[in-house]
Amino acid sequence: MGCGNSKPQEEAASPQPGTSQPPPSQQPVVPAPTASLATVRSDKVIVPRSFRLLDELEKGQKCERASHLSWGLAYDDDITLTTWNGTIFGPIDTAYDNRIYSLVIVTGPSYPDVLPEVRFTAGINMNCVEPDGQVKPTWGVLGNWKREYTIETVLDALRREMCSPNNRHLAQPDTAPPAGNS
Amino acid sequence: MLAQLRQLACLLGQFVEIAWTYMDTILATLRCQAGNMAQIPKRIEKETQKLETEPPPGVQAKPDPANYRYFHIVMAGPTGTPYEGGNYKMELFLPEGYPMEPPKVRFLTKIYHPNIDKLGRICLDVLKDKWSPALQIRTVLLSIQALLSTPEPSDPLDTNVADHFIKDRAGAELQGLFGALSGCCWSEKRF
Repeated sequence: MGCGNSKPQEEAASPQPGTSQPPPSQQPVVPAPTASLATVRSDKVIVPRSFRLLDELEKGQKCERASHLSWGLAYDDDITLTTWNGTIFGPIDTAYDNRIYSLVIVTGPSYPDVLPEVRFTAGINMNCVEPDGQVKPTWGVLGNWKREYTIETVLDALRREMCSPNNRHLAQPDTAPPAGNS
Repeated sequence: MLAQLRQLACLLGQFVEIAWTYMDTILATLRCQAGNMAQIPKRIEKETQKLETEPPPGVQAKPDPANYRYFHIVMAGPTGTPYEGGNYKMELFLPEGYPMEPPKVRFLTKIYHPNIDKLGRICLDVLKDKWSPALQIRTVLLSIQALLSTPEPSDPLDTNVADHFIKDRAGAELQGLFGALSGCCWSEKRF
């Protein structure tokens, strides 16, 4: 695995020449935190948006398992990590059987604190989906959005929804491409 | 016997009195310890202060006001490199396992470099298998600066850019230079 060098080692942790701080032994037992640090106190480790999304991207790329879901960036140079493509393989013995459903997921600047926008790109008849393909933001995991939820959570919940008694026998428009034809 | 009991009671009474007198202090100490548990780990606090008071040359690192483990960084392209004149925005995050785990760093400004990919991810040994808890945020930033000065096209993350660097070093560096100049505009963009 290729990596660059690590030349500047001169500033390793232990000896710090030229520091203005006193050595640890001379510090008071409970030093008063600076004002700026005091305001950022927090107990929980919060993973920022982009590092969270990079993890999601890596997981999506590693998912070569026999999965019924896939996801990845729509544009491979999208440094803002905003637009994603997802696919759901329709569950067997449902109206969605033998079809591949493509979705566009938009993770806005406040994701994952704020839910993503999710849209089917081809026609689908489901209770939680508007006629234009938009998944209703009030539905299930979107309506009860939590920071821990991921793109995978959404795709997985949508696939479960396809299996629910309300949806599994709904007549489908003939627009989604049949699986195995591509 | 009675006298001994009385003496004991007296001692006990004194003890209670003393304990009562110092109750405030004892409670304050306990509260203080509980408070410390919720505070920023000492190591991160120290590193943050040092980055503020003595930033590495050409580097600005500021903790996010809402997340003490998240840093916004601006690095000047090192002089004498194609990146000179560019200001490169980066973000750095200290995961829960820090310092046993390395920091996570990513470029937010597009950069033409064989060891940095289109999403700004950096291929650098100290961010992966060569990480040691003795290293710091500062060391990592200096290593990234060094990587800008000495690209490693033999060990690439972006193979297209690396090929360009190997076959046509001058052309590749020129492209990096254009990137550095336009990088000024890129860095203005908010994500």
